[in-house]
Amino acid sequence: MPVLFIMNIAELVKEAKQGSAAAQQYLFDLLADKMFLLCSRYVKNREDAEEILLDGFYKFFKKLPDFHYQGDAAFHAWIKKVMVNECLMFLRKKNVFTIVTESAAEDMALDEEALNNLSAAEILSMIVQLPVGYRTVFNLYVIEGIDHNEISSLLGIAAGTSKSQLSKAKSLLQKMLLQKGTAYVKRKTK
Amino acid sequence: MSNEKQNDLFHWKNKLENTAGLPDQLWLDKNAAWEKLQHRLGQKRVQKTRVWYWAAAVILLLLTIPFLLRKNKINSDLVNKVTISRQSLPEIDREITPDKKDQSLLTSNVPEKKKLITAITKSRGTHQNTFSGSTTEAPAFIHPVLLKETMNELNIASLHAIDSTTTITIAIVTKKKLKVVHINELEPPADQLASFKNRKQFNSDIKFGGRIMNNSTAIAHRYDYAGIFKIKL
Repeated sequence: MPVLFIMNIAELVKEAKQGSAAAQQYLFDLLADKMFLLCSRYVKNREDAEEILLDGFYKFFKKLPDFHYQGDAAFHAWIKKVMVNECLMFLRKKNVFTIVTESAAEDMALDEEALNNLSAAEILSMIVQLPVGYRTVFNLYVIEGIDHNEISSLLGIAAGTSKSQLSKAKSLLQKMLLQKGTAYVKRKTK
Repeated sequence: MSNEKQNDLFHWKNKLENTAGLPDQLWLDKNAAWEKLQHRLGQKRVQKTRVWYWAAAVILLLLTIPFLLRKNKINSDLVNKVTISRQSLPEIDREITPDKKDQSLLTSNVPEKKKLITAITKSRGTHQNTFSGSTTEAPAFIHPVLLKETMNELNIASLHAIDSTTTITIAIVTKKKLKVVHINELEPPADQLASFKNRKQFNSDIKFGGRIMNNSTAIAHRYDYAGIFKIKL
C-alpha cells in the first residue's frame, strides 16, 4: 500500500470507486477517527458509536460509485452527512430521541475565555452528558452548522422546539461548568 | 448577543473538528473495525452471488420439469411393453397370443392356432428361450392391469433390466380364454344335422329387395324356419 500514501483524496476516491480494497482501507484509516468522534457526540455508548461508524462507512462505500468528486471539502462534507444521518437513524431506531420540555435553567452566556480553555475531551464529555434531545439539537446546530428549519425537518419537530432545546442545552452546559468549579462562567441576564 | 454566543460556540466546533486523533476516553481499533467492515462488504457480495446461483438453479429446474414430465408419459406408455430379462423369466408353458399380424390367422383357422400359439420354455441352466411363431419380431401390447395379474400369477417379483441379446417381448393373455371359432365351423344342432345334409340345392330366380337375381345359387337351410336365406354369391 505504499503507493497509496502519495495519492491524494481524489485518486483514492477514484481507486475506491473501482473496488480497490487497499484504497478503501486507506480512506477508512484516514477518516475513521474523525467520524468516530462525530458518532461519539451523538451516542453515549462507545460500542454504539462503533456500530454506527461501521454502518456509516458501509453506506459510504456502497454509495461511493455514485459520488462525483468535486473537492476535498465537498468530500468531507458528504461523508459527515452520511455519518450524521446514520446517527439520527440509530437514535430513531432505539427510540431514545425524546425532547425534554421542562425548563432546565435560565439562559446563560458562556464565557469565551472559559470555552477556549476547555479541551476537546472536556467539551466532548460535557456534550455526551446532555440529555439526548438537547445533545442532538446542540450537535446539529452548533457543530454541524445546520439551521433550525432543517433540524426541525430532520428530527420531525417544530423549529421553535429546536430553538428551545438548544437554549436549554447551553444552560445545562453552564451548570456543568459551574459544578466543575471552573471560574470561567459569567452569568448574564437576559 | 446572538453573534457573541455564536463566536463562543465556534471555538467548540473548531476544537472538535481540528482535534488530531481521539481523546483518551475514546479509542478505536481501526484494524478490527476494518476487518468487520470488509467482512460485511464481502458478505454482501457473496449473498448477491448466491442469489444468482439460486436463480440459475430455479431456471434449470423449470426447464427440466417439462422434459421429466414428457419422459414420465413415455414411460407410462411403455408399461404396456413388457420386457423381461431371461434371468427373471419363469418357466412358462402356456398359451400366449401372437402379435397382431397373426390375429387373423388365429381366428380364421383353429388348427393353425395351435401352431401360432407360442410356448415359451425356459431352460434356466442353458439360458435358452425357445419361441415359436413371430412373437419375437414385433412387440405385442397388453393392458397394465392384465400385466399385473399375470405377474401375480407367475410370481414375478420384479422386471429386470433388458438384456439386449435375449430380450423377449411377449404378450401374455391371462383373461379367461374364449374359444375362437370361425363362423364356418358353426354346425347345426345334432338333431338337425341329418336334415341339413338333405339340403336342397336349386337354381331359381330370387327376388331380393325388388331385384331379380338370376342363376343364383341359394342354400336354404331347413332349420331356418323364419325364412331367412343365407345367400352365397
